[in-house]
Amino acid sequence: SVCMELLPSVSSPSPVVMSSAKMTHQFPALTPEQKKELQEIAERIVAPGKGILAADESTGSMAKRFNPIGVENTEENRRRYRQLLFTADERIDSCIGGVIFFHETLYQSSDDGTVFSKLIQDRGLVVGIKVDKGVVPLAGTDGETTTQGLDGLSERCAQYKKDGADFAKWRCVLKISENTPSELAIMENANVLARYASICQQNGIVPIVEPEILPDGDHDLKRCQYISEKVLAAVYKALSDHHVYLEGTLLKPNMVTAGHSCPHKYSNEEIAMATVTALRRTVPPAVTGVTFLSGGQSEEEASINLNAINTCPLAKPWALTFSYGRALQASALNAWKGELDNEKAATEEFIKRAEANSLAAQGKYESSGSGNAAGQSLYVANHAY
Amino acid sequence: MRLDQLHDERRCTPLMHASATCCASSSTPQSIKPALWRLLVLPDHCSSVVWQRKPSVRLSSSVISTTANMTHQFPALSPEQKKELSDIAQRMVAPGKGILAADESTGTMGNRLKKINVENSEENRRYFRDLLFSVDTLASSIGGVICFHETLYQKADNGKLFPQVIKDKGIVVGIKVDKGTAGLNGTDGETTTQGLDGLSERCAQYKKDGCDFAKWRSVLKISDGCPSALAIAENANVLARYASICQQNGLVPIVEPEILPDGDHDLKRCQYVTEKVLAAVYKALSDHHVYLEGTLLKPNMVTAGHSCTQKFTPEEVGMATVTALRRTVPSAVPGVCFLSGGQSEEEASLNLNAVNQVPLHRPWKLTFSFGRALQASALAAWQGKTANKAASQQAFSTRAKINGLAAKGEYKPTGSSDQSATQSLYTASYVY
Repeated sequence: SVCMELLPSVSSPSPVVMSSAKMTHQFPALTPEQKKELQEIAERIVAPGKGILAADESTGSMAKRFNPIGVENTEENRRRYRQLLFTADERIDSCIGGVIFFHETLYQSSDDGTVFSKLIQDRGLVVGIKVDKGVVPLAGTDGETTTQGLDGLSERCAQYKKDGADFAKWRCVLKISENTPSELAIMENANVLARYASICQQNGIVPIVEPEILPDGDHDLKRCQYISEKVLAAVYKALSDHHVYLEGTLLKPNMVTAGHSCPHKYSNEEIAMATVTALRRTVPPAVTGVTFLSGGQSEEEASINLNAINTCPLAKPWALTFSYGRALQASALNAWKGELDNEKAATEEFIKRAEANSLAAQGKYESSGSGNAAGQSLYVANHAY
Repeated sequence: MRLDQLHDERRCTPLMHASATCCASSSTPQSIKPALWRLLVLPDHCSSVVWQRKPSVRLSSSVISTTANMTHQFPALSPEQKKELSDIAQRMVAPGKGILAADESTGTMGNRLKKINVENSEENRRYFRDLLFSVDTLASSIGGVICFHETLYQKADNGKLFPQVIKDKGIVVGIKVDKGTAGLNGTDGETTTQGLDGLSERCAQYKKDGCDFAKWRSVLKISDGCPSALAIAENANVLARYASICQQNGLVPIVEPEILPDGDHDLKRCQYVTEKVLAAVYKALSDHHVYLEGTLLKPNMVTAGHSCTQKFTPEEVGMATVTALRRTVPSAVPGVCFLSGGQSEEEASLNLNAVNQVPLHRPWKLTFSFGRALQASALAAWQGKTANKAASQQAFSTRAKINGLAAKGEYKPTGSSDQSATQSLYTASYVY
């Protein structure tokens, strides 16, 4: 149970290749107590029926959310908006396991002066924090990127932990086109995710690993599945190489879908089967939970797809739940439009989506207009994938 | 909520399979009868294009795809090929069944027969394999038999070819296809495994001659400097090449990355090394586009080295083993069939049983692929004498039944304490 302290994180320019003769000696990265804490945090976040509210939109991203509803992107408006989500009544306590914060929001308070992180913690939800610093280009590629944010990450994590955070999120981005994702993009993003994960765990923070493959493009379902499998295989090899404790992590992947401009439309069951098949081939059972991003999906689409995933007739050893931003907040934003009088209505919209996704995470969601029995027969046998 | 309860609840839908013959029974509302499944015919979707592989070429280093189009999928297998492979694998690891590894090479059989003072003749080898294969109740615990090349073309006393004898019992026939280890220069006595040359043609012939699966053994060892990064990478790669070639020819590849039990390392060390090795194996299988649902894994159990001064219980062995597998083996893999290595018959059964009682979610079948651990008593009872045939078959049959129970976690050796006593020996997994 020797605990080896990691040196402050240094961004590595290339993947780690173990070359020392003694590399197969284990230098334990975490003590049993550290492992236990991390696993328990992860379990709490994805407890049955629970998922994540991704409320970590950066200041720039919030502008994109506020513009369509005519709200000025001020610090106060952002505070008021997050408040109407965080003060939703006890109905969300059984639906939301964790909330991802943006840095600014972690230190804002509700009207009565309660710091948001404490507000969330006190109602039994786990506080998370986005820690990456956005994408940067990979020179020599077709517009591909990696993600920065490793500098001083250990110290930042230690501070976030003191300030109430128990998990973190880091988003890497890949895209599908004729030439992408390239070998370099896959390998570099997998490596940077693994470095981030390793540093988080040293500071008692559960890393959510997010290797998002964008839905832009005209590729079909099969193509997305194939690439998802390659990307995830690389991610888990990197996590192994970096000695990351899988039981104390969560995965935040895209669902496997066709590209937005693909002329062929696929059913929810096909999306579910392709998604679960890809995960079964790459995500070790030790990973505590998979919390899907919603990408460009509508609120309803994201719920129905999550439901189909949870009723897919293949063995699924991890929790399969949501980590939604837009798919939890779109209606709430529309109802709010920045007006004080609309706050209650906006909160209700959010609660509605939270409850819908809680059911979807258990395979119990019935959207009006879809009959469950009819949907079942549309699952294509898995060997076709 | 107990950790094991949490994991059990996650197993909410049983593993379903398209084949009507292998449908797991279930009473959950989500169970779907195969008859209700409709294959939706879509233009690009279920491509039935079969891409012919060129004859296998031995690669000297790991394949790194460099073409700009590498993420385009060039389907290695058609849906029909995938289904066939998946069905075969499922049959081999049906509940309560495992594999009889009867693929000892001529030289290795010599070692076995020498111990009981029996001449290593072709007839003696034939006689003993016939003794094993002709056991009436074989199919109740054995899902597959691995043969050596010679044995595949030998006959039972009744004149039937062995593959036919085995198949008639509903058991899948397999063939060892590797050609032994070869030294890795510049390492501390480490090896890779050869046998890729002409492997595709050999596989095609074996398929014609009744085989539906193959086995290839790579070997790693634990010491101060081993296994090295090269040994891990090279063996993972060669296993992936072998697997890819097998699948092209309708053979399910059993992937065997054995880490030898020699040495004085402790349980933790073996677990650590096993995790690194298996992570490399599954990355290589992904890189080589191997269809995981149509493969089986044959790993070592996680144990301390033979000369380790500390002794570990079957529960500890079970927990370390299952933890290592959960961290590395994707759930798409239908089954894990452990090798017995140097374990005694009883040790192997007790450990397999413990593995199947570990209170962690295990999405693959966990069963046996035993050689010595199924045959030791049978050999000892036989002594090369025809008069001992029945006794020998009885000894083998007993071990087969016991391991069939162990594969379900239902083996209760006489005189052992009950379930609750052994439960307390489980150390929570976070310690591993």
